[in-house]
Amino acid sequence: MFFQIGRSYGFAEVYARKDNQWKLLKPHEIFKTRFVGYDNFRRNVLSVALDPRYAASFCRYLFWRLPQYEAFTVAWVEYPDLIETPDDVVRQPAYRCEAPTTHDH
Amino acid sequence: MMTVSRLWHRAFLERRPSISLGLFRFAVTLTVGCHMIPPLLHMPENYLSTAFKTKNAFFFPAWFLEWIEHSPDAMVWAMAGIFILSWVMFALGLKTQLACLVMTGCCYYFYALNSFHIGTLSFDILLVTLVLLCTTSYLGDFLSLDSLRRGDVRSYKRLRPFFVQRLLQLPLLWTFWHTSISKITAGGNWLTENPYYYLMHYPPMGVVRAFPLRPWLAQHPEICYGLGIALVIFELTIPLGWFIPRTRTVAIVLGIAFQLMLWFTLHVPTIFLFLFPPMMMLFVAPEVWVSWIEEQQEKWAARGRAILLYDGQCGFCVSSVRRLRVLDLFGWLDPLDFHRQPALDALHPSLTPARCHSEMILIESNGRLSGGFDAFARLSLRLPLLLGLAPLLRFPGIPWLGRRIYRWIAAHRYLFHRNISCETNQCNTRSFN
Repeated sequence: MFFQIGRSYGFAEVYARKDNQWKLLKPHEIFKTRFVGYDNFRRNVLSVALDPRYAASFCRYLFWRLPQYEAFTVAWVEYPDLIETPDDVVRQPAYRCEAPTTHDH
Repeated sequence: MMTVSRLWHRAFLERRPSISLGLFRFAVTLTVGCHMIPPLLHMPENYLSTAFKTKNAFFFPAWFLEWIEHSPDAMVWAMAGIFILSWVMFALGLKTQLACLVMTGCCYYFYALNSFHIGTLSFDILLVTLVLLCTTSYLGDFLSLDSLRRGDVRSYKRLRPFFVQRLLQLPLLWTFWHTSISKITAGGNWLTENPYYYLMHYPPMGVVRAFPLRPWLAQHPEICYGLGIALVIFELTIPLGWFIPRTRTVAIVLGIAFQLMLWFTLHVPTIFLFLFPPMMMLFVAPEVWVSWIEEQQEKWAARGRAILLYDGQCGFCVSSVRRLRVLDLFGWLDPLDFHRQPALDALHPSLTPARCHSEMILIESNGRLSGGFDAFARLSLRLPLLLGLAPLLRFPGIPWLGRRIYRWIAAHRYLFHRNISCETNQCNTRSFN
């Protein structure tokens, strides 16, 4: 509830591979649920997928939701300092989902 | 000790109209529906065995989460159906307390099953609110099918102990204070840093909306810091204004404006917008609403009420009129037994005893006359509690069907008498009291 807000901001991105081409997925391609009056993904709910405890279930879900893709990569993205260096972005893969829903760290 | 006792009684136990709770029921219905129904529209994605699920282990014990996790898909579908049914019953005020209990139980079930989308702090607050509402049936006293079934024409001023309404005010107070104190203590950095300024620099996919002032605020850190401090002070002080009668109105308006500002600038769950302003309205004394209703009743009495002629010797008709009176919140109707009218043609030249016997007659103050189904359709435009039916009653084909159904019911209304030995349409109504 906005008790402590820092100068950095981190979130998750999900990339999908098809025919050796990687594509960044929009959150609403992954989850079709829409809420009244606000966008739940703007609240950074997708960052829960970065939790290693949920990696296996998230991979399984991705292959169910988007069977046309061969693999997925879940990445952690961070703006280290939104004030001093707003254009600096750090991306780091958290894990990869390869069919049939295994994951590497 | 006497003073404390008196204060306690006045704060919690005094019997006061429960009208505010009846109105609050609609706000809760809207809030629960807007939060719970969207994920239910995508069951495979959110709740079935194919779903991506997260668990809130801080909220539920591990054994409970594990038990719920093993729900077969058929059970999840059944719970969704039970939720929808209980939500509709709660909205309509039918078996209100039972509906609230079942609906709340379903909310907890789906929260335990998957907290990914619905698990927010505001949802925790909503659940506390629902638990409080489950303790009594007071929310079904007004604007409800329960009040209609009771035939309670004074449901708007039914007296109940005030403790439920008082207990609903308190979570709002704690939420505002908890929010403001957490911002400045125990890791909160609103005094030591400039979080509001940082929020204005969040990336486009972040929680801050692209509201008009945002670019300007992002260039003025000192203004952002001042706004942040003002926000903390506001959250600390405004709840006090709700409790003081002289400042209450202004404090409520400011509180509602604050929630609107939050929603306008941030992607926060609309629980804040749909639930908190109605909770602020619970600080308005229920006697204010009762007085307003009675003022409207006096106005209609002065202007001249519409006359509704009915068969006073028909038990079904008498109980139907009693229910119409419950719906007639502002006293627009003056129901009259046509048997007791000395001269029907004095009321309207076209009236005859035969016509009054065959259907109910509505004579409006401007002289407009309608009968049977058409009279009921007119009532739906004038009685506030029937307004929701008005478009349906005018839908193509419905009037044709409605007139036929009305004529059949009118001709066979003895079938609906409670006293089954009454096989004519002319039973003494005293046997039905």
